[in-house]
Amino acid sequence: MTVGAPIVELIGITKTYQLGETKVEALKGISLSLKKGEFTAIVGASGSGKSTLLNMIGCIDEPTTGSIILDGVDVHSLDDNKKSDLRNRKIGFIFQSFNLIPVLDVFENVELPLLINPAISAAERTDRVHQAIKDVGLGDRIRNRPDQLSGGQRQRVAIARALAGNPALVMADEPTANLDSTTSFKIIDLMLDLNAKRHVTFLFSTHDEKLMSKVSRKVHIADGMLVGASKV
Amino acid sequence: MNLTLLQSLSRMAWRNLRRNFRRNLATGVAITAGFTAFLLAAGYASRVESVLRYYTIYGLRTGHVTIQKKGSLEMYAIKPRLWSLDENAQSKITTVLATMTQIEKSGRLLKGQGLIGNGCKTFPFIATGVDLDVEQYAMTHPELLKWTPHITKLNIGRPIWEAEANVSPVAVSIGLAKLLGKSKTLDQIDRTQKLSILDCSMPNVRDHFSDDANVQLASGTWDGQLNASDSEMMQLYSTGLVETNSSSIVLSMNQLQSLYNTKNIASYSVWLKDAKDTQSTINTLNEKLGDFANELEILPWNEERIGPYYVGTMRFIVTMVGFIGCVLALVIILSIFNSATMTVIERSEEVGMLRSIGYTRGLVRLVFVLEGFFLTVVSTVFGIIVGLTSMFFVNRSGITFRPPGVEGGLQLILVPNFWVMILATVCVSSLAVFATWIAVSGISKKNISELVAGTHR
Amino acid sequence: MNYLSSALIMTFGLAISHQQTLLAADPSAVDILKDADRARGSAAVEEGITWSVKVDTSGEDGSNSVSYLLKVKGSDALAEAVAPARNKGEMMLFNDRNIWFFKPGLKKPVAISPRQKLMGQAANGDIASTNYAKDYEGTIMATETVNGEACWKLDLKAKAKNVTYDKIRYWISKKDRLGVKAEFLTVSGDVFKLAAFEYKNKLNSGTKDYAFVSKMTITDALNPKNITTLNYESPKPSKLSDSLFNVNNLVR
Repeated sequence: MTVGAPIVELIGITKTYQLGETKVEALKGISLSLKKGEFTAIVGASGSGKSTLLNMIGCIDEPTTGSIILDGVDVHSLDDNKKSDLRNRKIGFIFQSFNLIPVLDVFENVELPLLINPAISAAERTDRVHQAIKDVGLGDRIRNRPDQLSGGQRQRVAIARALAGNPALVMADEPTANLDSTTSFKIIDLMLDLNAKRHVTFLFSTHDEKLMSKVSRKVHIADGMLVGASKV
Repeated sequence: MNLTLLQSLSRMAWRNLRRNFRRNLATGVAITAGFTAFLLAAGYASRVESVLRYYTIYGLRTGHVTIQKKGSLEMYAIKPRLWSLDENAQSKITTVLATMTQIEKSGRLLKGQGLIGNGCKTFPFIATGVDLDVEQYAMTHPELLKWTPHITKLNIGRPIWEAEANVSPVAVSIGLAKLLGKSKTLDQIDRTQKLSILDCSMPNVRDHFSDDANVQLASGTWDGQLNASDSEMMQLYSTGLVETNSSSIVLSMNQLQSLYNTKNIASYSVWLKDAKDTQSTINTLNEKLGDFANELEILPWNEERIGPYYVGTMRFIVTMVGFIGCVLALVIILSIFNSATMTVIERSEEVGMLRSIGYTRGLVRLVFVLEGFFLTVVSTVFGIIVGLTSMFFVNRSGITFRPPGVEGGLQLILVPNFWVMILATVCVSSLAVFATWIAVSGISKKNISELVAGTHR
Repeated sequence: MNYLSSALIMTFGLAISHQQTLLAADPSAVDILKDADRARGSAAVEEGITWSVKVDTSGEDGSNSVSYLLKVKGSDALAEAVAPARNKGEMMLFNDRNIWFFKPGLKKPVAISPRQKLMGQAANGDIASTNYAKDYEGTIMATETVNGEACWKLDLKAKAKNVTYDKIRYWISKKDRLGVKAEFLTVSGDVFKLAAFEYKNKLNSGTKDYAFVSKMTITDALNPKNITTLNYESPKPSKLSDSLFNVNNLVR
């Protein structure tokens, strides 16, 4: 696996929430760099701030202070529509509860992010969707609806949807939390495989110690602060 | 936005309707019911509008355009001699009318009052004098026959334009004929029998009034003298209105002019080949009549003073239908708003997902708006089907009712109006879009991470 | 106290009896009206009277003139137009309060109202003899001077709907009991026509000469330019057959 230039840079990120009359500091000055092709896990206990950190990196939440540079672009300078466009082209999302649209089949769910990218032609879109579905091993379930799939298969669809747009970064917040351990390993293996094949940067959060043995880099977070970074 | 995206979003929206089937069904049924009610009300209004329109234009012989002396609408009844059109004015107007190709028919009208007698008693009348060819044109016009059969079917006897040369015919309204004690028209009596002069002091004299069709018309002439003439009742007719059905008579222009000892007329009625030309015809008449037009009032049939019954009734009916329309709009806005609000709350994580993968706020709103739109369109289509079916059965069932002021029963007939349906569908769909947009706009502005996590509430 | 009461009662009692004495000096309204009616063609001679009347109108609607021959017997009257040629043969028959109009060519006579305009300001009922004593409830209201002549002022109220006017104010000379002037009122009490009378004709009943109306001038109260004059001539007794006044005989 080759690791290249930084794809994400976080500089002094803080996030403070107002909860009633109390201020909650979810992130306390986090600086972090993720390089192209890295497969990184953010590890921390529940409430440590790992989801908040992922939201900042995924541009679906705003830091209170600090800046985020995503593939050379300062996210803070973008308006909502440009941020939407940036998410569409640069980031793939995998959610804990899959978040598939139940009335659409596998193909249509995977196709969703590509539909709003005018740079992709109809033919290319079809090719990419087919390729992504094939890559996650669901070539034979292309016309199935989510309710006809198992949990693992649904998460594979979500992975295919995240990968179909050829993003620079794929983010997964607790992607295996709703899966049994066998399926969880299979999903992590799939993500590792895709990381190797497609050189896509993967960043995911987990609190499952067993999965951590699989990742190349672990970022530990506790109480809103990084407590150390390691390479296995 | 590209077409494929719209197609895909539409497909998704269409399929999403099934996700909350029961709720959407309830919303759809509410819209369908409201829309059906509106269509039925509009169907009634449409029918009444047509009846009143053609009753005014042909039944009342108003024409599409009327020409009268300026001020005569207020003053003619008081001083007809001063507020009527003399021979010179008639000549000028007739000359201009003859040059206008958009005119199908034009005719002179004379109006006046007097007493009609049966040899023993007299009753007040309001007379319309009309040239017989004009009377034939107006009374046999297909639109009049089509829309006012409830009135024309009551006619008894032959129309006055069919009278023999030696007869002075008069058509008498049914109520007035009843007052006169005359139920038979000229054709229904034995004309070979010599007319007898009744002894009015006989106790059963009323039983003999119908023995002949002869009536006398008496009135003051326009130059201030008492005058009277003989007429034969050719036809009994209904004016369609209680107000006028016991006082109206129609006779030839010559007869009425002779009774009033005048050559003047009250007005001209102008019937057009195409009703759409009404205003342009008025403009052309004003132009062609030059300075003389300043002495005249040239008005369309639906001007309040010319067609007060049409204008007054339609104002009421439009208000009524408008009220139903407002209630429908409110039902739709509330139903759709309620449905859309609940839907977006339930699907907030989906909204978060769509926003995460790059869908803008506008696109997310569009997904929901399309759902509301489809739901409404489907409901209105059902509304149209139910409405048309209801109209079919209502029309077939022959329900009769008696609106205030209308003589006799009127069959309840509902006439579907294509343009009202289109317009109502567009309005209802627009309202649905508006209501959904409002309902969704709040959630689309929420923090994406909170939507995804389901913590936005 | 007793003295005072007695004095007051006596004083007012005297005053009241004095008032009654004054009114009792006047004849009854009916009697006055009967005398005034006789000078306007009513019941002067039992077997009948004839006279001619020319009705002239002038005003904003132009002018007109028609002459009638009147035949009157009791409460019946027949007015026949004699000039101009256009109106010749037109007849109005008055059977008490019922009026019939007939003109040559009509198959039947037409019942008309006494209130309807005959010509100009004259109503149909104005042309025939008047019988105010029978048709109206009269009340003497006051004594007034008209043209230097002392007159009773009477208020007349219609007894029936089919009489010529609803209300009349009628001034009758005390001296010769002739109607001098009249105001005709609407139901609501507004004056809409004024009339003045002259009595230069004489009617000989066979036993006695009576003054007989010679001119009646009717003026529109709202527009005094509209005037109708009825000029009466040659009143004389005449033996008239009852059949003249039978409506069935109008059509010949």
